[in-house]
Order: sequence, then C-alpha cells, then structure tokens
Amino acid sequence: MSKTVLVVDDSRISRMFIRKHISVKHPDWILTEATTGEEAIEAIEREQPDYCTMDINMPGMLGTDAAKEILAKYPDIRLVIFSANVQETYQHQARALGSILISKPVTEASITLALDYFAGI
Amino acid sequence: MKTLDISGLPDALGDIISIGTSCAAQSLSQVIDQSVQLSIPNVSLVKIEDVSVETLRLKAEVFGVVTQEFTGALNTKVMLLFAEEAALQIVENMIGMEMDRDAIREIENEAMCELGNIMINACLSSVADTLHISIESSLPHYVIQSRDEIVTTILHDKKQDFVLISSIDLVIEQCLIEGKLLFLMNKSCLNNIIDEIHFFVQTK
Repeated sequence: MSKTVLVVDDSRISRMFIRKHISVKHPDWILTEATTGEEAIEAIEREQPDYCTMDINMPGMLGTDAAKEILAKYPDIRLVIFSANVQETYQHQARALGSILISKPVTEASITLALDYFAGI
Repeated sequence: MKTLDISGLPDALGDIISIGTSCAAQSLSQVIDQSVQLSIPNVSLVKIEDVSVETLRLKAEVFGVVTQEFTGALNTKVMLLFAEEAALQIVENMIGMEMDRDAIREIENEAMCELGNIMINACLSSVADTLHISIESSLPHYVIQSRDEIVTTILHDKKQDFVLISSIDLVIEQCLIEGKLLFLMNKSCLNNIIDEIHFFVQTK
C-alpha cells in the first residue's frame, strides 16, 4: 500500500539521497520535503504523513525540538532522526522521544534501518 | 618548524583526535561508497601566532574549506580542508555519476557542506563520546581559499590561541588526497580538553 513520507532536512543533497533510496525500494510512496523544523510542523498540520525523516541541525529550531512537538501531537507518525551528530546524548534524546537516531551519511544501509523502523520491525 | 612540543600534553589527546579523524575518514568512505585508505593521522599543536603555510603543512595551492563551530563542553572552531581538485573529485564520487566541471561546481557548495558536516561531526561525536561530554554544532560553511588566505583567516581570529592539526593522507581510487582537520581553540578550551582527558584516564 502506498505510504506518505515527509523528508525534513536543510541539505538538498541529503533530501536527494533519502528520496533516491526510498524511491528505489518503494516507487509508489509519495515523498514531500521540508527544509526546517518550522516548515515540517506546518506541513504536518495541513496533512499528516505516515512517516517522517528529521535532520537535527537546521536553521531555526532543532530537529529534535520539532520531532518532540510533532510526536506529542501526532504519536502515530513513525519518525526517524537522521543526523551526522551521533553523540550518545542525542541517541538517548531520540529514544526518549519515541524515535531512533540513524547516523548520516544517508546510504542504502541507513535507509533500510529507517524503513524497518517504519514497518515496526 | 614552530610546532609545539606536545609531550607535556596527555598522550591520550593525540590518540583521541586520531580516532576521531579515522571516524571522519570512515564516514567519507560511506558517503562516496568506496574504500578509503588512510595514513595514521599526524597530530600537532601550534600557537596561533605561529600559524603559517609551513606549520599547517599545506601542500596544495587551493583548498575547499568547511568550517563548523562547536559549543558546550568544548568550544572550538573546526576546519576541514581538502585540496580543491580533490574536493571536486569527492563531490563527483558522492553524487555517483560523471558530471562536467560546471555541473559539479554548481552543487559543490551544498555537497561539501553536507560532506563536511558528516565528517566533522563523526570526528567530534567520537571525541565527545570518548570523554563522556556533550557538544552542539553550528551549521557548516564552505569556502574555497588559497593556502595564504587560510593562514590569514586563522591569524585574524582573535578569539583563538592554538590550532590542533590532524593531517591525513587519504587514498581514493589510487589518488592521494591531502586532508586536514584543524581545531582552533583558546587556552581555556585546550585546558578543558586536558582536564576531561585526565578525568577520563583516572576514571577508566
């Protein structure tokens, strides 16, 4: 069944890689993009996706803060945090939010982790 | 050459920076999906007033430079340097398709920012986790600079007292690439790192 994914990242390159790897495995999924946490919250207010990928370090609010707000309001959205900053502090923070932190770079292997998490595996 | 004697500093400093540098190189390998062979990082320390092309051991004329600032338990400005020709090659490998030079230059800024963000954070996350500290990073910034401009940029940064240099030679597709990670810091930051290392060694 077709799913919707919101990709939140200020880096066009990262968004491009996430889109490419997900589309290879799920060509029928609908992907939309946001470049900041604020934009992501606005987009989700309009329409809730099934899944979301969230960067941490972006202009404006931190991705972890945006994720906290989104998951508090829409706990059914499965959200993974993609970040180059993989310090244990941030991994604990992601788990506390009910999410997981996956280290960048975005690769086929890291997208598989995200897709497994989306699927509840 | 006016590099400082770091024998008075904890041995673990060089080790921790070397491990962080290796993590950065490993993340580069993942980005370009190719094996990256690297030399053992050479770590040295220079006073800011002694920074020069020679003390930084800059061989290429022009570099792609990604800069990111870190705050929290450590306040440091980190600069990742690649010889510019190598930076363009890395961008092409990163995108995974052959592109003409103009097309590569169009995306060079964004691609190098993302690559720098990944490599610098891989290094600093390793340092932070080893020392059980937490640090936050700014957004990455990319510029192309001649080696003289790099030296001038560092000399003009009045907030810093030292530069910790981690030099690595990377081999990608049989090409030797000159890479540097520079950690600009003031005395207080250097002392903090030394304190954290002493604490880490004592509590290990």
